[in-house]
Amino acid sequence: MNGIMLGLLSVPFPARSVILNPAVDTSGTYLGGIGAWASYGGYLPDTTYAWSVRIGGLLDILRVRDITLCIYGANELVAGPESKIRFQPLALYWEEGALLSHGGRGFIAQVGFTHRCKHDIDRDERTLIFSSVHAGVIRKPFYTRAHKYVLWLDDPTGRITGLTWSWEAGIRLRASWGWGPYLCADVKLDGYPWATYADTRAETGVFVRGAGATLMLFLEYERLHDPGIYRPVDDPVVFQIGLRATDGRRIF
Amino acid sequence: MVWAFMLSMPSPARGIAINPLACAADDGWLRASGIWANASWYPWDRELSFSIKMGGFLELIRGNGKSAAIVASSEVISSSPGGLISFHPLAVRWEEGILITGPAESAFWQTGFLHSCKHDVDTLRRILVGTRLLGGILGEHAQGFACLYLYRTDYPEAREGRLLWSLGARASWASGEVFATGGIVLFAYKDGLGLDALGRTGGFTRGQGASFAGFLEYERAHDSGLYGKPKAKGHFGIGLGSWAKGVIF
Repeated sequence: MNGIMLGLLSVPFPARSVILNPAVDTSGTYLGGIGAWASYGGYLPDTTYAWSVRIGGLLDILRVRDITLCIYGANELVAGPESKIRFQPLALYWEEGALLSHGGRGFIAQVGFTHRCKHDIDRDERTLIFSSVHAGVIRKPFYTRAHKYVLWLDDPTGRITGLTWSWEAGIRLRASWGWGPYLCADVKLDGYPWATYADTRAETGVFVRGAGATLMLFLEYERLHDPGIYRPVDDPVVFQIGLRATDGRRIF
Repeated sequence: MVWAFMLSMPSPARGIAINPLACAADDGWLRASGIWANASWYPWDRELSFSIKMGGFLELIRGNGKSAAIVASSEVISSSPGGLISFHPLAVRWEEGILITGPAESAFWQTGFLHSCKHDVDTLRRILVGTRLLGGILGEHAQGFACLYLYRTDYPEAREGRLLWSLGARASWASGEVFATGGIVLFAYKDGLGLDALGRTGGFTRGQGASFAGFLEYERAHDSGLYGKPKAKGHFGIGLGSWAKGVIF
């Protein structure tokens, strides 16, 4: 593993399906590079959700020896099956943050802050803010990260204002060839004063790596305790099949 | 060097030019990709607080000097002031499509298909959808584009006259680490015309893999789509932007 990796893998964080590597070995010390990803996936079956689009990127601000400062942003649009072009946007998740990473080959330690929110599209169902400071480590192919939440809003249910901490962990297995199969698995625990809830995610598929980008055909399983799209806790279990593109260097 | 053009107003990618062929690569699949992001604050505006735009492209295939890429962009616009953290999203705009680019002597031609939409956040006022074919020329200091609209939706029918076509032109200038750009887009409806404009000036710096800019801007939209009825909107802003070096300008 070259450079420093950033794990943003959780549910319902919009960047949960990728690992960011803000400082590959060719990075400069100042504005060393930009990385990006985008995915489109359709849900099976699509009785509640039709599809989602996830997109995001990072910008290396500064790298001094083994320490990298980057800023990043991501969003996810979830749509329902209504409308004649199957485009009925339901909700939009955003997250933006800054991350300080330290490490080199094999082991990376990270601290950062991420602001997250969820809003409705063309309706007024539920608005969320859940921002955290976090710290974690990455040792390929594993990662783990702990969050302490510092800013909340949940209009009108108020439920997420009880979210105190989260802990996430996962694994990324991918062949080093130009193409082949891959496997990902993640778990996230959300701690409330009255209970702890678990979200889980697993993904498999085939990747093709080009000189300037990587494409992945994926099948994803997710169980989300409270995606925040509706006021009641709907605890959905969903499968998604889709296509993801990354720049192939900083994000994979 | 600063390139910019407006695909259309209010496209979230206004002020951005994408040229996959600016990335030197052999023919083949997945040869180039890149992203850009932009944040503008409107301290002198009573209605809007800021907007954040981001987008990118992925070149699918390159051959015989031509490139085919998919593009996508989004913009979130926040009203002022409001919310727990002065972040009260008002609306979002999305755009996605395909661009075909090829050389044209010292410049490049570009044609493609773009689908755009605007939606409200946490409420419902007006939904806009527009799908268009485009064609134009990308030069280092000047760009021009024409768009033909194939499909459009305006819910709940705020404007009676349908959008038919648009013409856009833009010029840019840069010296050292200072730049200035300006452009206009003329929109033709079945019942009249509309004119949008964008001007931007500031400074920029380049790193090894990215460029970063700070700027002052003025933009005017003949129909921003942000409100229940068509309404012209003009405002000054202060912005920061970053983009992948070389392929996004």
